[in-house]
Amino acid sequence: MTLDPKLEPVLDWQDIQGNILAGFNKDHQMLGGFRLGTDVFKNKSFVSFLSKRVTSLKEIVPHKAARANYLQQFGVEPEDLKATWTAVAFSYKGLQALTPEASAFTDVEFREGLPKSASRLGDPLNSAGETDFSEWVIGSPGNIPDVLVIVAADDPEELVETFRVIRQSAESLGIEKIYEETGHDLSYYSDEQHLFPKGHEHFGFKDGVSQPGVRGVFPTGESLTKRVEPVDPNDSGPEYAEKGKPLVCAGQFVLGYAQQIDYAARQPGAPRPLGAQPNSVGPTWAANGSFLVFRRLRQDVAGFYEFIAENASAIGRADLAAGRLAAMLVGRWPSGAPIIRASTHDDPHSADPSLVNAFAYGDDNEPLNLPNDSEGLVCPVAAHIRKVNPRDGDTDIGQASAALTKRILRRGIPYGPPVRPGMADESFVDRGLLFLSYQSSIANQFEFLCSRWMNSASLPRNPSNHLEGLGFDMIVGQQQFGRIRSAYLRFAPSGAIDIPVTNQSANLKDWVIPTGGGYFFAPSISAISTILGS
Amino acid sequence: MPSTHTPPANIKDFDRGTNPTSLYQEWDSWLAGQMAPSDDAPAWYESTHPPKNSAPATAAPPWQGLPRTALLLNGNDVLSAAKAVENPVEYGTGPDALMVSQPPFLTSDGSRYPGVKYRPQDEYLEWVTLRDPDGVVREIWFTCEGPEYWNLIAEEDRDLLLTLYGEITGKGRSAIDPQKLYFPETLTHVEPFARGKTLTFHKDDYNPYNEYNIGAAIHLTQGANTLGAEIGLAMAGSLLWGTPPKTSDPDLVCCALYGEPNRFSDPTIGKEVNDLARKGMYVTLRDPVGLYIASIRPNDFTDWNDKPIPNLETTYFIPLRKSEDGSLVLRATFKVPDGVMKNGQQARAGDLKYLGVPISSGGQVANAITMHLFAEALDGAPHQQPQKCGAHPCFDSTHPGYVIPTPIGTPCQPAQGALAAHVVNVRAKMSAPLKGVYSRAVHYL
Repeated sequence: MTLDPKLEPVLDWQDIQGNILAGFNKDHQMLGGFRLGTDVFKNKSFVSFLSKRVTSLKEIVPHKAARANYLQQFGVEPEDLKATWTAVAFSYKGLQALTPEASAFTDVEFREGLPKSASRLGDPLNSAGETDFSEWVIGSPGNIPDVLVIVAADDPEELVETFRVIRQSAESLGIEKIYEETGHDLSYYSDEQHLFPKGHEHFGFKDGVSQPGVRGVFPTGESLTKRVEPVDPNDSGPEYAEKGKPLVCAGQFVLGYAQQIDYAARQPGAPRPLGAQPNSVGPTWAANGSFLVFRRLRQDVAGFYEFIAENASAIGRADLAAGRLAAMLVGRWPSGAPIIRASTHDDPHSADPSLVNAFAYGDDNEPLNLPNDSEGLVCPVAAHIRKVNPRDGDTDIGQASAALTKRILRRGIPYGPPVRPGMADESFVDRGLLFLSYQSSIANQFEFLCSRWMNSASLPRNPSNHLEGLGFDMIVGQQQFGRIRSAYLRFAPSGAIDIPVTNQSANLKDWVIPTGGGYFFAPSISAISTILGS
Repeated sequence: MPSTHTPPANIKDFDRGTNPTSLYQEWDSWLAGQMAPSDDAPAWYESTHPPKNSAPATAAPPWQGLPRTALLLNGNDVLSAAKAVENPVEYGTGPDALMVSQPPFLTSDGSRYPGVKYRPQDEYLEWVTLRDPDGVVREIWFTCEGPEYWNLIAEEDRDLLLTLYGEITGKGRSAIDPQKLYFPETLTHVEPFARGKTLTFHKDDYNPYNEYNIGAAIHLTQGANTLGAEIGLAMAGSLLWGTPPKTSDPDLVCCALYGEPNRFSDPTIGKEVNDLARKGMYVTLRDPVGLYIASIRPNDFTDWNDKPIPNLETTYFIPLRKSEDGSLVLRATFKVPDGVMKNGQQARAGDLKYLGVPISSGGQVANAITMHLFAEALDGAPHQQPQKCGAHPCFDSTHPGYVIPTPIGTPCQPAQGALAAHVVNVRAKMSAPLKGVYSRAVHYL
């Protein structure tokens, strides 16, 4: 198949950091936050040191391919094919400390940082009506890292050793480490009594199931995203790499490449302007870079399931056990099986990679012809996965393809030990998600998803015959004032009856609590070494 | 089920007229003409005369108030887009910020008649930004009232028009010069949104572009922002378009040519209605037919200290003209409530931030406003044959993403260029596939 070079540009895989487009996706990751000092030479020396360790897309791709091949051939992960990878990003203040050209970055949310955006993201407030930073372990005003380092490894010992070398370099140059945290895939905590499956988050659900398929080819001619779904040249709608996995222009995640156009899924848009271009958003060297959002989200597992049990009991339907209610609010079962494919109970078969995203919301999703639910009778309109990824459903920003411009690449990993079933309440344990996402615009992608869709009772869209809002994202959504949120369930065949699920009477109003984070820019490897590190 | 068509939001202005009964009848009569069933549109019905007695399903397609075209042409930057559409534009001086070239108004001897302006805000929401002498935004007035309603009052009850203008502008009735509400001489204007039709405004006809409207956003002025356009769009959306029927945009909107493909509003409205029609349902617009402000997103706003603002949606954004139950809003203001102080002074809208950026243009607030209208549907519509497409989408290479509807059989040009002229030209020359439907969408006069 011949690919349109404007739509499928050649990606500079030696220059783009590997975590952005391919994702480290390792079982063990460490995040380190560093504050640069006053000595510019030492600061640049540290950055130069880091630049030699940053892992490129080119390094990752063959490694991941080899692992995937092994897994396909033998059914298990290869023991001897291990790697340790590094990614680096800078806050606006960090960039300013390294080059005067940092002022060319114009995105206000990046310049001002997460603490100022937190008020628009619905984060909890203190008694003065300001964002409550008291629980933040990193990223509160005055405690924002200039440099964020991510190290990922298959081997936890190698992870620690690699991070130690980085920390030692920083120390030797008088650069202060202000944050260090390790995340592990929860399977790491499995023992003889408890088996924690791979890829799940603390509430028990498989995470990171649905990622966009990024367009673009490597210099070798091979596509970044494998295509298994045939393309209908007579259709102008989204193209799919595989069922439920639409292709999105690389410029939506990496600067310097064609962006996705909201109303024209197969047309290349202009890249975000850089350098001397009108309405420029950054310096020319920002090309091949990406904006990184980090949110440290504490999860109160006991509180969440208390809320679920209370509502399941209040609703009192024989066919709505707590597990099903939780699955409805997520949109998937713990295995990852989409509730649209398995409406009443978890079905690991539906979690198979070939089926896990093979569903739609609109009932005219030709040519895919997938199971769907336009009225939200199976998968509630307020379900988390429906709020953040409306798929083929129309939204308040227009036709379905417009939502492709809001996609992000998620690279998070859990932190803290999982709750062990049958054990005493461990709600005091700090556990949660180190949420990481890459995008080309923090405001138009990450913040849009949070403030406009997750934190809204009526958006992205109500189904027909329902003029009132069908509720908040009850999993991650935030309601700034009062913290009280509701979502509504509808059940076939009497779909017109909306059953409220609410945290009004719950002891705990929030079970996903922001406790840190920051907005960063992950430059190209060449920019790190030549502009920032030299 | 209403037996007659009621005014938008069931607003009670007519009760204050010299002859309320006549005003209600005239409105009903005009709207009945617009909404009447047509042999060309078998799935369309008039809400006052439904084909069956069962309760209809209702849909309320949403869209946002800041023009998508302005966002598209300004790199998706809200402030740049808002600035681009902030000020009224004089006819004949285009292209405007939406790349529309509106021809000038002409006198009977063919010379240009200057000073006629419209607002280049084309999502059925228009606004004016009121500033203090220091240039800081004090308040923003929003309207989504169609010009047809005001035209009717102007034609039928000049006294009521004067009263309403005095009230809405805040100037008082005596400050409104009645002469300025009507054209002083006969003028013509070629309206691209009426498919190039020459519109004639006779001497003493209502001037919808009068200075009070331009200054206070009494009602909509942009050429496509009419109730007639809304109705024509919905009616055309009730047909099936293309074989097999088009189901997504921009193919559908270009095939049906029922609206501007580069807006948030038209494709959203058309497709919502079309989705119902493709399910075999009868469709129409719910009475009272109108375009309505649905809500404002409070999360987007912070104060000058970057603190979120409690109850912004109810205390900073105030409906000014609405239905009795408040569910249908035609006009609203955005301002800081009295008594909210900044450094000892009354705070102003311009002291607030939208998405972290101080408010300096009304369009920033429009970006937070969700609009909607109400369609209703009944099952059991007769089978209908798909219509032939009028056009297919092409894309302007110099403005990525800008859709140019191009006649079927005409290939897309490698470099489109001269975009505005091209668009107007296509619209003007293309014969409407169904005159019975499209004649209603052309204009209100």
